[in-house]
Amino acid sequence: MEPSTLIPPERVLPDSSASSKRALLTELANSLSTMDPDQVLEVVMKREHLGSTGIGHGVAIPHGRIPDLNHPVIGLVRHPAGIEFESIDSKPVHIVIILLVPDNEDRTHLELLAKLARALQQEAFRNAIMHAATPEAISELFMETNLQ
Amino acid sequence: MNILILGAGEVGFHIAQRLATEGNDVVVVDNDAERLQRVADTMDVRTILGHASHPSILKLAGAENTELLIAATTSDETNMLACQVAHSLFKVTTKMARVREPDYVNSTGLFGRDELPIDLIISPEREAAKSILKRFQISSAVDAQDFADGQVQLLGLRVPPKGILAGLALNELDDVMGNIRTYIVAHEHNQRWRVPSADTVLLAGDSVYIALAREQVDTFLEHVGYETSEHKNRHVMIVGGGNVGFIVAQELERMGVSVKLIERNPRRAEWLAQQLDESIVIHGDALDRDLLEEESIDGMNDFLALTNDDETNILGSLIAQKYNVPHVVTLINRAIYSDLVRQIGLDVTVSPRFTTASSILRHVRKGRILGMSSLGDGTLEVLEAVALETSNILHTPLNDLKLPPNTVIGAIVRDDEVIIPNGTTQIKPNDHVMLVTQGTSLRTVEKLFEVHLEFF
Repeated sequence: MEPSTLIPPERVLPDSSASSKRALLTELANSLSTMDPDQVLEVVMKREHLGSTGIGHGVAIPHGRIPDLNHPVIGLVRHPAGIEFESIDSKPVHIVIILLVPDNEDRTHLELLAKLARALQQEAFRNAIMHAATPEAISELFMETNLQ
Repeated sequence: MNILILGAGEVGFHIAQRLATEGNDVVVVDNDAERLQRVADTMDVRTILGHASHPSILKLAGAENTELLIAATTSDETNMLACQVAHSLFKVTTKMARVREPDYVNSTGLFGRDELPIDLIISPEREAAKSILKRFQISSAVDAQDFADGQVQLLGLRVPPKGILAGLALNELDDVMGNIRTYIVAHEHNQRWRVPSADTVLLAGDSVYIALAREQVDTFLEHVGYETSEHKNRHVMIVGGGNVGFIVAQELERMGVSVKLIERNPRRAEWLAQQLDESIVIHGDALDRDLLEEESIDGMNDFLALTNDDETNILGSLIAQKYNVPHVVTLINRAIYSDLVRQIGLDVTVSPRFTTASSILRHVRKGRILGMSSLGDGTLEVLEAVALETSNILHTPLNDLKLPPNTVIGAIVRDDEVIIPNGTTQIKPNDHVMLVTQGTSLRTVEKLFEVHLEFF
């Protein structure tokens, strides 16, 4: 079996220049084909309102539940200049990963979130994302085998 | 947070100032250059001159980056349309609009995600009317507020010279209250409001805010030396039949109270007479003492001064006091009067601007904040928040919880049970927490209720 990635290349926006958190999330929501961008934005912004998902070190993982989704959807935006995200360390965010999950109680969501958060805690991994030349290269970094 | 405020009138100005002070990125739009200049001179915000609902103006004001839109111009139509434009063209997620006209507000099905996309309709008149009715229902209180759907009451009282409260230290409170569970969350002495500590002593003439369960309000008031009176037998005089006066009269009628309503404008008076069934509508001047005497002001239990002119309300209230009307409520619009009137003996005032700003500001707070308002002179804030799973406030005895200075938890509602907490009480997921803090600590309090990353 071919090794699979958590984030396919078409779900990677390598070079965003959005001018705010809200504009970046709108851009991200619009890029997720097959999904209703308004709904995605609404869900994610609502979650942000309860507490920012900016986890420090320039990383944010906005997430939420979407009814009628069959499997988790993950996308990534890279913002070279950095953007204010109300993060816990108040630093600008460069890597935003959106995680949308089906609307049912399931531990796998939390495991997926933990897996992403763990990987992004490593400086080398973050640097690799920031220096990757193409969406394909970023996608490759998220191969399941790399994330154990 | 990026916030866009439309309209720089009393409400818009006040909210912009608050939000800018707290470090938000605020843009204010108004079509009056002078008003806008006053904003620019007073606070650190960006200002845009133009018509608030025009797409080009909203674009210029950065609507694409906006997380929260507050449409508070004086025109209902502009506010509603601005929300629609912000939604359709700029995907602004949270939108609030000030809408005065009851015809709009009462039309069910008009507002919603696929209709007029407005998340919160703010009607200053309705808010004020609600607040006035609350004051009517608990007339021995200077202020009264509902939390957790009314299960918890927060009463603002003057400590009466006679009765058990005067001279009492707070650590003795439980001893004298018997079965009544109360928590004193705010205390004013010599016009300074504070969150009290255990050794605070209450003196006659001080003001306090007391949290307690709804069922215990009457028992409590009697216990501390206030009379409680049946609503039905009360005689109420209202001056001013504008939106506020009309809503209040309507509600009082529904409660079976006998109302006399004085309105200066003959056509409005006629309209009111047609709309109201039981109330007596009188066309005349609120400050005409002959008229007031003729309508037996000296026999009234309540006098509600609700015209849209502050001076008339203040003078009318003073006249009513001269005739020994026991309960007088004064509607005050302008901030500058709020502090003054207390000093001339008008205790019970309602300020639409104040209540409106509070109900907007609570939506700006992080976490699930259900209610928020100012206490006393505005240095203290009371809020009701849901303690969500993963938030920092859970599972720790309150004594060990690191609350910011001058912050107390006055009541907790778990399912349908009201808990007046002590130091050993712990907060559980989904509890409703009523908390009082000073304005400067709000951001820290907010952090207590924020959820962690793993919250879905």
